Amino acid sequence: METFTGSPLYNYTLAIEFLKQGHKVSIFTTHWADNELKANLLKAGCNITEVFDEEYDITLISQPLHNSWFSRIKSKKILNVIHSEYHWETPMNSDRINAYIAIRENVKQHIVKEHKIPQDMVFVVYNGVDLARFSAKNRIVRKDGYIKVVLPCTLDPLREKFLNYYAKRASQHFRVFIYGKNHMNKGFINPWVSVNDVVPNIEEKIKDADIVAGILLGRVNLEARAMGVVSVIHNPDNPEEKEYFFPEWEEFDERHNIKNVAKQIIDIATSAEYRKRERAKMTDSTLEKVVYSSVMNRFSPVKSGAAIKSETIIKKRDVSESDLFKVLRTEVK
Amino acid sequence: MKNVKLADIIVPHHNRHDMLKQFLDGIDISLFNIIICSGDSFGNNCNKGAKLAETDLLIFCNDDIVIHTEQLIKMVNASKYHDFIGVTQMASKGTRKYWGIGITKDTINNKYVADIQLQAKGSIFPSGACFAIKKDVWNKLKGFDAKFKTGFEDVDLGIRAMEKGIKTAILDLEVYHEESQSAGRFDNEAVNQKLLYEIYPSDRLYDFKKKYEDFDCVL
Repeated sequence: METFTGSPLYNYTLAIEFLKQGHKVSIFTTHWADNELKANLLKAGCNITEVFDEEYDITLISQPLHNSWFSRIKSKKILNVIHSEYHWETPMNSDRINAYIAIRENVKQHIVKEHKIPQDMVFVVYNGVDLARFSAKNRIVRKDGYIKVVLPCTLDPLREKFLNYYAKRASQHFRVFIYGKNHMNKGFINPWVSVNDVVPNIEEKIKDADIVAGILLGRVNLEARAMGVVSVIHNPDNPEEKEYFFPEWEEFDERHNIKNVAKQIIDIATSAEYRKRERAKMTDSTLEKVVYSSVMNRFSPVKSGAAIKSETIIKKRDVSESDLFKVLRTEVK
Repeated sequence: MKNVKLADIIVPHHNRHDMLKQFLDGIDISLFNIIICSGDSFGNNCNKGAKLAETDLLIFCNDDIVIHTEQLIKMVNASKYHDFIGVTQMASKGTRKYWGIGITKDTINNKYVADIQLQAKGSIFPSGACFAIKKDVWNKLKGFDAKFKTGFEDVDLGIRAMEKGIKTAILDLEVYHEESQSAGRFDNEAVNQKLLYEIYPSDRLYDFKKKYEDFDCVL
């Protein structure tokens, strides 16, 4: 929790929401800093800790935890959150993990394919955004004539091509503002690129932007959308490959509103035991086959051959997860 | 997830298919509806395209304009405060910068005429090569006057818009403009010019110029 970057902000946002929803929350990390994250968590009633001294109902782990720490966790349910396809997000391979949370469909596909995690244990729950903090009500449209581009990102080798892409294009008419820790001590000759230190209140920097940009689909894109700002998602290896992100509000709200995200995570954790029992009755291949066929039979709008996001379908159709597994069990019999 | 469409881009197209392709290459179609209209005059093509628009903002762009999605987004953002928005254009292979249309004195004929301005000062409203306008304002103005045949439609629309008090701005975005590439672009030049100065004789243009003498529409 030293930096205002993806994983710390994920846990911070989620912890604050869990607290709002009446749960008791502790955050463990060996990397605490005396910053706004820590101060706000304490203010909201979060227990911040460097030791595992309690028993928890649910534990969420981001990034692999060394076994010396992992073995000390006393928790009824453990969920491993996977934030990206990069190696530092390798899923933990342990019988104690009850479910994996992938923050994008691509991440799910990656950990199923590359790390052989059974796909029925992986749930796509998108990153959540605090819509009270990142609100279009706070949006300011500047009355001047230049395009303001904000890049809230760490300056590191992963983002170097992306940063150079914008630095090359920056001009009086296209001004680029970067906010992030400069791990490369990177500077730009172009005077229309402004490099600034990471800030805790990024909403103040993006509220008057014309465009926000980042790599992959990250928090910056979601926060920008919440504020009514169009954002760009770049391929870090080839920044020319990009797509714009400004989805329809209803769908965005359903997927990314932190209130919904927090509830989905609790639901997954509380149904983990049921899934575990059901899994024990089937082989992996049977399960996979049955999941596909039953979903196809039951929910006819799904096209044959399409990648099936069972959790999405369940949600859209308002069918509980246990209902789906009842169907599975019937078919196995 | 499907993106929200920010605006309808209406492209009056004649015969430069290569330029149309280049134009479309610069635009992200997930954010904009693209309407291409051809087979008639510039004004009529634009009027037809506007009827097909689905959003509240119309962006008219000639196919010889090179514009990027970021510039279009800026135009969309500017529509929060303005109803009629133009952009500066780099013309003649980037050697000349066009701002907006203004009124100048033709010293040979000693008459006031409407013309594209090479500086911010004196620019009063956007040129027709690339501009955004709110659909309700466009409808209120009844679009381009079909009596003009590919020439001066923008001057007529701009004067009518200003006279109705439409909130106007020009963004200094420097979009690239190849200029007058379509075959037959000047076929009706004399007729159009005659029509324009019948509607807006020199003394009317002089009054118009005086009214907007201190007007600064460039953001």
